[in-house]
Amino acid sequence: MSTIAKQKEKLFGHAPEENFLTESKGWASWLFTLDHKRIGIMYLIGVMSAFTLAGILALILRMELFIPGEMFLSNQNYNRMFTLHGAIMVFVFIIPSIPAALGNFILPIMLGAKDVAFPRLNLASFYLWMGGTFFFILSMLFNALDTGWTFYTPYSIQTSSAVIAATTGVFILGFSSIFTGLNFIVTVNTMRPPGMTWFKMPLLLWALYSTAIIQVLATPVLAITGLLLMAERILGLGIFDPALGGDPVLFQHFFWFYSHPAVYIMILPAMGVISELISVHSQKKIFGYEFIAYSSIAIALLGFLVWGHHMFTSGQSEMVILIFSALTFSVAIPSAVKVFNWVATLYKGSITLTTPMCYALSFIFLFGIGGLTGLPLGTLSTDVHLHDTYFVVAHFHYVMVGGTLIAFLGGLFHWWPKMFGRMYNEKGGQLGALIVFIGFNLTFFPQFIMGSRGMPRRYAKYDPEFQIFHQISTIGAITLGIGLAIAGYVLLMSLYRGKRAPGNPWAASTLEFQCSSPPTFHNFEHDIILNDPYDFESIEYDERVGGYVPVLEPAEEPKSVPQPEPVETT
Amino acid sequence: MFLFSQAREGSFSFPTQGSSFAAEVDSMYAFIFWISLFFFIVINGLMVYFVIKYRRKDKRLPEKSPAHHTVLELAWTILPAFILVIMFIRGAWGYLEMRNPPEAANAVERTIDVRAFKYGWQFTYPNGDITSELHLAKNVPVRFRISSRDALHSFFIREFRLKMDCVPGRYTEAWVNPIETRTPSETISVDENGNVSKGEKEPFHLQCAEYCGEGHSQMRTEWKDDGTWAFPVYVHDCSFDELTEFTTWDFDQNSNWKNGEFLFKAYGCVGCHAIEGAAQKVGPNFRADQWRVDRRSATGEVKTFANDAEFETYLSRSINYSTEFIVNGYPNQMPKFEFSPKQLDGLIAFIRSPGQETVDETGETTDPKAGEAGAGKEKQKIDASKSDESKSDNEDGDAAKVAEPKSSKNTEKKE
Repeated sequence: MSTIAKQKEKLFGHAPEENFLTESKGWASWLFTLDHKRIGIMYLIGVMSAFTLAGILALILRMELFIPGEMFLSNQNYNRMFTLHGAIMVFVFIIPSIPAALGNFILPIMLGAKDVAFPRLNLASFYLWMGGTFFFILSMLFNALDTGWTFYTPYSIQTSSAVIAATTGVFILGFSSIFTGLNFIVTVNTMRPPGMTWFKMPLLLWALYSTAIIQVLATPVLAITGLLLMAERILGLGIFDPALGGDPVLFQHFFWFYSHPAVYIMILPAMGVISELISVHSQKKIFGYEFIAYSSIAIALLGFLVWGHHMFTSGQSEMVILIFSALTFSVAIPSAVKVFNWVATLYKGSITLTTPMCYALSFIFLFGIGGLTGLPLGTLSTDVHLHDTYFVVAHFHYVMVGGTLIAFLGGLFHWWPKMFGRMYNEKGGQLGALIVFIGFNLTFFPQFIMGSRGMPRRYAKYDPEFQIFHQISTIGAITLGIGLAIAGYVLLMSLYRGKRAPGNPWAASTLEFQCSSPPTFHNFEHDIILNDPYDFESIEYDERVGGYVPVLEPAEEPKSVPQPEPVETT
Repeated sequence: MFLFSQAREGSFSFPTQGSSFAAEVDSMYAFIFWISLFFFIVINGLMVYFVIKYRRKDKRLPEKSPAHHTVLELAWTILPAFILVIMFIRGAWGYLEMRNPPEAANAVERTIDVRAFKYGWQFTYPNGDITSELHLAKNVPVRFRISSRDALHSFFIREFRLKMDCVPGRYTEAWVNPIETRTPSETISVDENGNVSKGEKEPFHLQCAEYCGEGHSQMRTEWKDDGTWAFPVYVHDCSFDELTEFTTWDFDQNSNWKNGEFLFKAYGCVGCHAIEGAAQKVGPNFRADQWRVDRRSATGEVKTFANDAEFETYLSRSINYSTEFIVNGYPNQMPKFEFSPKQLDGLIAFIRSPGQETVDETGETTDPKAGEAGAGKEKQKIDASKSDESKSDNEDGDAAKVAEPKSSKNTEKKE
């Protein structure tokens, strides 16, 4: 055996005896951990639980809408349900899903680092997330919130429901988000390995970095808005309440000044994930790296300038509305650039339809619809008709679910072997992805037609003429639920039955695939070998390892290996 | 294409085109749709083609191809921008037309006040007529001055492609030029036995599009079990002035009960309170046989009614001072009204027997003249009980008054 082969086996062989999951045991070792991987896993369990809860609420809503009149939810209960569904999905699930759950796990390893820059802040962020979620659940149990996730005044001042508890929850969740963002900015700025310049970073890092900028800059506005709303309710300040001389539209400005950039907090990391998946699973260098990287930054910055497009019918002046409409169109361009680049990446690739790739391709399809249906909403004359109808509901579900959730699932399937060291059943994963795709379209496509025919959103009871569309949508929601259950089952079963995953099952060239699966507590037990993140020629298959390893030229042999004893391989 | 036929009767994707600007909205939408479809097919067609053509066969690594192409990338960055500019300009042009009322509509005598409240609509015409049905004249542009009594609402008529939020504390405006008729006779048909059913067409649909609370989905044009339309939008083929035929109500020419029935609809009471056996809405149903039952408030206070006068006093206070006594199980969300004694007489007569017009206690039928006499009598009764009530208020402490100042300020500001 040549020295290079030995070296390889030592470096990239099967998992070492101890990994981050097994290196210490007991509840306390998890609850007080500072390990970014364990925090990521706890986030993952947390956001998936929140997603399951909010998903069940969505199914209940869709069941109720099967008939135009009342089936089993009174108006008031319907309003509470859609509020909880929206608020939990947005604040507790989508915003932390990719950055906090996947990002925490992947970002430091992608940088070849041991951890994030501030591990304690990272744990604090997790506990803030837990605390905020707890407040939400309190508000649900004791005094059901019925304002919608938007908390529009003056209704949120008038209603007797738990606006204060819920806003406190949002306030705390906001800080969780800020902490994660701050951590990521510092980590990316200071902890890149020597040789990884900005333009040699994987695109997921660009996306997470742009997201972090928005999180740090926009979330404080939400916090202030929440505080003002609480002050308004408790002290009767008269900022938003027209009865006291306040202006309810001002609240909408404040709210959307955060919540529109928040839309990009949700979608940018998803775009980053897709850039990775498309490239790796077609073994092709990503097309137009720089355009994709710059478009992430462009989206992050332009995202701050378009909040007014949520308020085209709120009575703003015409000049303001024209300006917001024009700016809104400008965001369409960087988004379109990304889609074109992804498709161009496929050209002359070597494409495998692995489960993550199935999700990535359905992302392009669904995000395409979600993005293009944004055009009639940004166009003023059509928006007046479509605003606050099911067209908007369908549009943002295509972006948030068809975009972010699908990318999250794709990313989860992509990095699952890395996280838990197990391969899942590929056929089962593909089946889940297919059913999710069908169910999703069946659920939300009819809502576009309902919307353009004039069905307003947030209606507990509706005009019988829309019944057929609602029924198709409900059937689709059940299908979607089944698809997601299959995906979840496939992942969970892999933990018991899955075969051991090699360090690099996908022939990916980013650094997180150079450490073992699952990684050890210290992530890397050897020096990293830094290649271009999309140079797939630097990777080769190694039979003894059962996975892919970097090509080692004798000259490039790592000079020092931190661990003197040879690693036992099984 | 049936998807977006530019026909007035609507298409698969759009309702009837009821206003002068509806056609432009639909055609703008179709314009965006075809452009979007083109890009969607190109992107996804290429994606599917590449996935099939470049499926991994034997070799893992693909053949070499460029990883970027500046000209191509600049092209697909800049060219879509031109299309977007066209979309923006056409959309803005269509929008400005929808927002700026033409001379003909922009006058006091062509302005209809739209007042939204939880949970209903009220329209005030230039001559002072008040209705809960919106009556418009074909080809006569009118301007709406829109306001709200309480929360945010949104004035949305889908056939007109018209939407404007109703913001408490300020006015917003919109205008429309209806180009299609919808008369009551088109929307209701009566067979020879006098049975009422839905007509060939529905009136134009008014809906609240901004979430406003429990009754949000009831603030819409809806066919009801009793054979009437709630909040319909009618367009008549007549001049604007001739609309008074549909909007005017002469209180002196009608019985108390009839006046009450009119007010009950015109002030949108019907949005929250169903009559007799109809499906429960957000407020208590009005059933003649339940009126003498004792009432319990949310705080546990019980009201008993020893005689009709006490009961009628209770009704009148519940209308004009709705926050005073909140019946257990119902939210405190009824807006404050300021009905005159005569109007109250009518409402009480109607509410006590909402199913059908009855003879009053003296045995006289409530023909107009008798109604007037009765009104005088009841008015006295109410005045007397009012002073009683205010005395007892002072004695019980200020429990009832606490809720009042805020809501009265509310209305003062907006009046």
